[in-house]
Amino acid sequence: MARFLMLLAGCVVGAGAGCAALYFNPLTGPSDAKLDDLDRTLRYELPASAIALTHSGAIPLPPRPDGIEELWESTVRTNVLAMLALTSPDHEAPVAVASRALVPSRRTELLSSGVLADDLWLLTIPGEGSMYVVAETNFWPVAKDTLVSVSLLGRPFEGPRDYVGTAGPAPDGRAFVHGATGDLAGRRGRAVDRFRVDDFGRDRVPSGISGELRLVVDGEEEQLP
Amino acid sequence: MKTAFLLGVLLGLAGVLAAARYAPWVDPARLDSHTTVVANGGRAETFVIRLPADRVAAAGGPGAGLRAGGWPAGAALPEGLESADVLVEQFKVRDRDDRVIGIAARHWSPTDDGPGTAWLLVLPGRGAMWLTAGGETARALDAALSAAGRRDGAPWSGEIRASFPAAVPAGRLIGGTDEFDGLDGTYTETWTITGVGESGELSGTIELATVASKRT
Repeated sequence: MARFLMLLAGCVVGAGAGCAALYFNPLTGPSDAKLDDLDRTLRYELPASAIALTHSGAIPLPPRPDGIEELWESTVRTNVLAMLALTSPDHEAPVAVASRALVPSRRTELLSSGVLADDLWLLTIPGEGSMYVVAETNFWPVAKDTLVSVSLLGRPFEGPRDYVGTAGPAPDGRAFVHGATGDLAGRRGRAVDRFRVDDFGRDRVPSGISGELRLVVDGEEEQLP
Repeated sequence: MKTAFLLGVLLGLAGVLAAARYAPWVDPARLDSHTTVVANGGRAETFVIRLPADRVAAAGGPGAGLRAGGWPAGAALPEGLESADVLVEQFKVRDRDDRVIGIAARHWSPTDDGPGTAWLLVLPGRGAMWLTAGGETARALDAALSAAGRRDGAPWSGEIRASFPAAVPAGRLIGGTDEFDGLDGTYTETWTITGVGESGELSGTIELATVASKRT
């Protein structure tokens, strides 16, 4: 009996060490995707830039506008669907509109990848055309600093903090861009989404979320993943 | 005793790391897909959107016509885009058994090469697919409804069918992820409208009929 209790105590200590190892695991840390060749920037703020936002509790931002149909069915219950107006650094007024879908990825694992979501954009620049941005976003770094540190461990949020969310699926850790219509049809490129969280309270509501989608679109033909 | 404790530590550590690596943290609900094999070795699948139940959001410029009226109330293109020639619609998507299997976005905008339409279909547990086509002319659906007797601003009931693109070639499946990775093909988009409400809300269905095959 004494040996069993020692074994149990050891398991608890070992499990705690394992959790600490996962918490500080550099393999699931923020991406270091290259940004310098991404010559185009589109910006958004949440929730201000959201023309529409719907989910069923998947993210700590309320759906909008009031009365929007929620994604309650079992197949889409963990998804997020947003319509965003995007600005550029040169213009105060929005220059593009995007549909953005977030779907939890089956490639999520906490040892070497992180908390991953398929982050799929359909972006339209009026007069220019539409393009798809196919990204895999790692939410573990921001979840660690907010839900784990603040909500679970009771620590204050050390913000504002910047995150590079994009973690693939391109081999260089960036997102693929695939032109769809107009001047963008048939063109390929790369993109990275990074965002800032100004504050996060114990009520699990973030404030001051601003993001920017940086991308480059060129004329090279490329096979998609 | 020390051995038992150390053994416990190793077991606890290994257990947590193994769970982190191998536990199915994300296991999306997935319904059986309804695909049929077509003569040239491709596969066909039809997706259905029921209006107004499956319409999640819509916003567009005045040139886009009846469908550009913000949905739900409060959804509208912001200042700076409000007169832009663009129409963004978002939907839930069903299979032929009428079960919701995913979400979709449809963007329409004119360009120098003519109007263009792009669909993003996201089917959790299966992947996403991208569909593009030469888009319909501005207010094409409005024109079809007018030809069927609807007066501007008035409710209407009846039935009209409109296919986009109207002319050959059909729309193209240009890529996708996971199950749809490496596929290309064609699609047609058919709107069957059976009514228009007092506030301009459409009733009917949208059918996306896709035929896909492995890219060679």
